[in-house]
Amino acid sequence: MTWTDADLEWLGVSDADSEGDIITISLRTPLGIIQIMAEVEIEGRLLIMHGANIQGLEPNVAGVSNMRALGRYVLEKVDCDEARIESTSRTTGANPGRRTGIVRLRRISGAAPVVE
Amino acid sequence: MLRPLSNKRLNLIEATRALAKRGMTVAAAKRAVEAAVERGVAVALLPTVESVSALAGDLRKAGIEPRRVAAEVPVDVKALRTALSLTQEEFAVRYGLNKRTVEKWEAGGTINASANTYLHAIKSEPNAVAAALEQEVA
Repeated sequence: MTWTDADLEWLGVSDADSEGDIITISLRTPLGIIQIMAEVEIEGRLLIMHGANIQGLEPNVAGVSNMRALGRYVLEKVDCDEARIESTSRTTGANPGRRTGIVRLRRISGAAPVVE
Repeated sequence: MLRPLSNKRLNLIEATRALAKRGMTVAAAKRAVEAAVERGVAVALLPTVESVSALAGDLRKAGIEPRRVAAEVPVDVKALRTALSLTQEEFAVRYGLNKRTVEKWEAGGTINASANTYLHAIKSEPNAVAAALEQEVA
């Protein structure tokens, strides 16, 4: 079952882990509290996240659809329509150290992410 | 120096926090941890380390093995030379040094930073350093 907004809770920005363009946010999910750290840029309605990293989830447990739901929830909270997410190197899972592709995500429900 | 621990999941945010707590900017700390993940090793310059063991504990908990670059720690030249069972002259010849310089160092003379780094290399890999200086006789 894919997460809905009701399953997610915005816990705020962690000041200790944020400085300048580096922002760390905490969210409650059905799988526990997670943190997302990234270098954030906003261009109009586009949220750009450089070096995005998520902590608090076991590898390959949440699934792609829940990650999309999470992304849309964050877009809603920061009032942007689209996200361009450039993740940091993998710290777990397949091929640690490898950088994954760029993910584009739209806030419109059901829109598929575009992987560049 | 930062190296990811092979037997522990790396927590990038926790590792970044551990470095930022010791005076690095959050951005620099994050980049250092990312570099350690990507390249297997990264350099971090920490201006304010209150306790080396507390830092090491925080980083290990986050999945990073820290190593201190010991170049600023002076090498005990006499102890090094005697451990290699060499006379001052043999030590000087073997490692391309001046015998009088070796004598001065052993008598408590100042060892400059570059020489100290070289002495650390000798201490760590005495045979490899000596071999690097050897040349075949025609």
